[in-house]
Amino acid sequence: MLAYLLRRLAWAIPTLLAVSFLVFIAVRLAPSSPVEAKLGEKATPEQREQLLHHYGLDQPLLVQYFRYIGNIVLHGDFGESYVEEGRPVTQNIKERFPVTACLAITALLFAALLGLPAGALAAYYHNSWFDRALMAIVVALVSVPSIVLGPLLIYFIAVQLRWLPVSGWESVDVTLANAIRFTLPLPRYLVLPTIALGARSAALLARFMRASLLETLRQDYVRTAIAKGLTRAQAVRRHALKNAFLPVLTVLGTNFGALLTGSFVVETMFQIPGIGYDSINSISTRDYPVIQGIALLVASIYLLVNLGVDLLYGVIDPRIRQEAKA
Amino acid sequence: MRLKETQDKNAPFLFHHNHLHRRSMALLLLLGFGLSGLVVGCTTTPHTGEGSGVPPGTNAGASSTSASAAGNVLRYPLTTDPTTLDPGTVQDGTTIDMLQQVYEGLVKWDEKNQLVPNLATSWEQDTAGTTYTFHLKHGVKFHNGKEFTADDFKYSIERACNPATNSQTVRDYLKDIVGASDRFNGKANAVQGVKVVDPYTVQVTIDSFKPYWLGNLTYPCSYVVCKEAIDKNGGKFDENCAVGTGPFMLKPEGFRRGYQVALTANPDYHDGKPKLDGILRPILKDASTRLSKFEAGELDYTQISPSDLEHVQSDPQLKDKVKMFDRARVWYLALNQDAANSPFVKREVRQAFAYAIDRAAVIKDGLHGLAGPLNGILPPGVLAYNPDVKPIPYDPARAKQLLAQAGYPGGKGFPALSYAFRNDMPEVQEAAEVVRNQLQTNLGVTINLYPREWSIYLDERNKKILPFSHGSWGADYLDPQNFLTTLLHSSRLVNGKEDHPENGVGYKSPEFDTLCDQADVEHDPQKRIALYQQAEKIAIDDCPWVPLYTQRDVELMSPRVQHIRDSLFGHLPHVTTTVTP
Repeated sequence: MLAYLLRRLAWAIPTLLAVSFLVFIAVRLAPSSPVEAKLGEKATPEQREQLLHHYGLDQPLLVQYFRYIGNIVLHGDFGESYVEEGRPVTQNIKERFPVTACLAITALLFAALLGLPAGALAAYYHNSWFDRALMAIVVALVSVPSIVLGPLLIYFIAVQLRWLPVSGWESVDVTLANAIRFTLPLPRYLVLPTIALGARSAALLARFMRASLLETLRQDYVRTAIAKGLTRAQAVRRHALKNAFLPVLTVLGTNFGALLTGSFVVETMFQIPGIGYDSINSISTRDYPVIQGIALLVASIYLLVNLGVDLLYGVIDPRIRQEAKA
Repeated sequence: MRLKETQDKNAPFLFHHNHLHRRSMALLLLLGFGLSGLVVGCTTTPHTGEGSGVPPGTNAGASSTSASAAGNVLRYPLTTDPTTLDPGTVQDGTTIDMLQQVYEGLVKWDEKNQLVPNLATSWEQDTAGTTYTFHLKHGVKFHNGKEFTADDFKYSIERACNPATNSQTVRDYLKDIVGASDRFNGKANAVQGVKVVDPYTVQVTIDSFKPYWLGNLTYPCSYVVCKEAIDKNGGKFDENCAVGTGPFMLKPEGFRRGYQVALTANPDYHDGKPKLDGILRPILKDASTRLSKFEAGELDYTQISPSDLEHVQSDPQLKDKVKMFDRARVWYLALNQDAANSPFVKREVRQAFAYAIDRAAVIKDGLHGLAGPLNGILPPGVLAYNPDVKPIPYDPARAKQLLAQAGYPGGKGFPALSYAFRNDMPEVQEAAEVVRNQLQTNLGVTINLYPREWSIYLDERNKKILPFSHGSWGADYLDPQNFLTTLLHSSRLVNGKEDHPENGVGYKSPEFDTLCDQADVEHDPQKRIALYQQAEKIAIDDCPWVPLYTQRDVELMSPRVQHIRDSLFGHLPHVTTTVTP
């Protein structure tokens, strides 16, 4: 198990290197440069050149890249923002990532708590009115991206009914036992973004859960269990659900990654100061170090989530544990 | 084997106790930590609100109770992130509007668009007109309690001009002060032309007589900053040393990077305490979010795009809240003679474009009527503005004739043009579409719309690869020098001999240059006006630009906002503004 884990982590290194290289090149291929964004319309050619030199952007691309990677590997230094000079990229991420993570987690919870039971019930009451109605809702929600759902929620819930704020992110500091301190968002700022971000995942999870459970219910062992005298409900509860959940777990994991990156749109729409909002801003100001830092962070999260899911898979399905050992 | 595990009699329901599912539960619980914490969290210390240096009730507002919760705080959005908190380097209008509440200069604009005293109570010029002696107001205090004196003004100018400050604006607005360019070019440690006579008197000497010069001192790079606060912050300029003398204070806890800026009223303001307790500026980049927040009562006013006007006017709740403000900003078609293979080097082509454009239709169809007419180069409000100036009229037949004379009969052989404009203003796109249609119909030429991100637009302009664009210029001060000389004099060509490339259209006219050169130093105001008007006439006929319209800002303003003061540059600092609960 440990060897497997180490092997997987070792594989993450070339993946992250590839990501860092691609992002590094891609941001530099985009037209314009941080210099125009920073100096505005009044800059002289000399000032532009000076600033390019100051950032080291006048060096050959490969030199720039190896310097960047070298600083990360040797000093753990991801660079400083161009827009806010002297502000380390890691500081930006430290402040903003918890916000994004919090939103992604609540959206995932929302999706799981709504989607999984709904999907299971739809499979259990297969072909009933409930099943059909739910699938209709699922199709609708899967087809509506957050960029459409968000404004609809804002218009009806925030503007017309004025139940919740249009946008924003206000938080409170919580202290547990006078020792552990953390910051949590006020729920009323969290509700609409959570729904906008999580609704599609909820629908997808419901669909997967339903399909998976239907598939499982057709298996011989479930029929055997019912033949041995269990009621259908008992058979589902004791035998089918767990096995049906297995493929859904993968979806749940990859969904978490998708929610983290999907929050880019939602954060911008709801003015939530997370890494998504930050990266959109950084792209428009060509703040290369910040864009690169966030890209590496998101890639690392994807790798970790996938690894986590694979490990969890092993915990739930002994066959995979066996394979990993072999 | 396979069935054994699942046929176990104790096989659980999804969330029942079983060691596997305990782990799943643990995972879900871990994920749920944030959510469960929310319930706990609600009773603890809020991040904003009283005691945090943020005006009470500035909790960006939610629900129908937000208007009353906002108390005596004015809420209006920042449409972009503040680019800096340093008045020495700021150059974008959005950030200037925020910083002018915090910092001030010796003089300021009033509602009649006149230069009036501010930190200086009066001033006089010597007979040569090159030395200004300013008498400073007594008892003015910085937000940290320190008294403002002449030394602070000298320090502020020298700091802004310090090459380490890396200010682009000092090269425009302070370069006329004797010794300023030596300072920003790193050749001197002080600015020779700024002399402290006594704590309440300061003398500024400029390099030659410039009747328009005083207007430069309204630009933020000459605003007064506090040396002690900056030194205490290790010389770095950020929210920890944003200490000015203005009507509102920016405290570090009021500055939430990328999210909002909260300003608190300065109780010791030298012109009397502001009527507001504070100002809240949430950063809202998206126009539809701003509109939604206004509709939901979470903002007191917000600028809207002319393209939103139809929606706003069809809404009985909103249509009475529309307010319009004229600005000293002109929009024009830049016909760049400097771009490679530009067809605009031929005067007939430039004139053909001018004759082919129906300005009234651009304003009506492209801007929903929300712009002022512009017949020449100078907008209303600027000295030497002539309401009777004769523009090139709309005359499609004459346009076709001129284009044929230039060698492009019916547009044949004319290169397809990319029509560049900044992509972050929907109304500009709409106006550009109308212009394109007129040109294509009236001249038979091919025009492709070329929306550009602002930084890309600048980059391409500097590389001289934009032959044709939708440009604009906002007045720095209301003198014709700031339009005619600054924008069209050959010394201001991109990469030309002057420091600044404002003449982005490659216009070179010796006759025009001479008139501007004379007018810029003319002592007799009437003669000066006449010279500028002659220069303007030449520029209209030569068509380096096609004037299109002057800007009119459209705002939605809640009736609870009163006594707001406005000028051609924008709203003035909110000293008199009130909000009713």
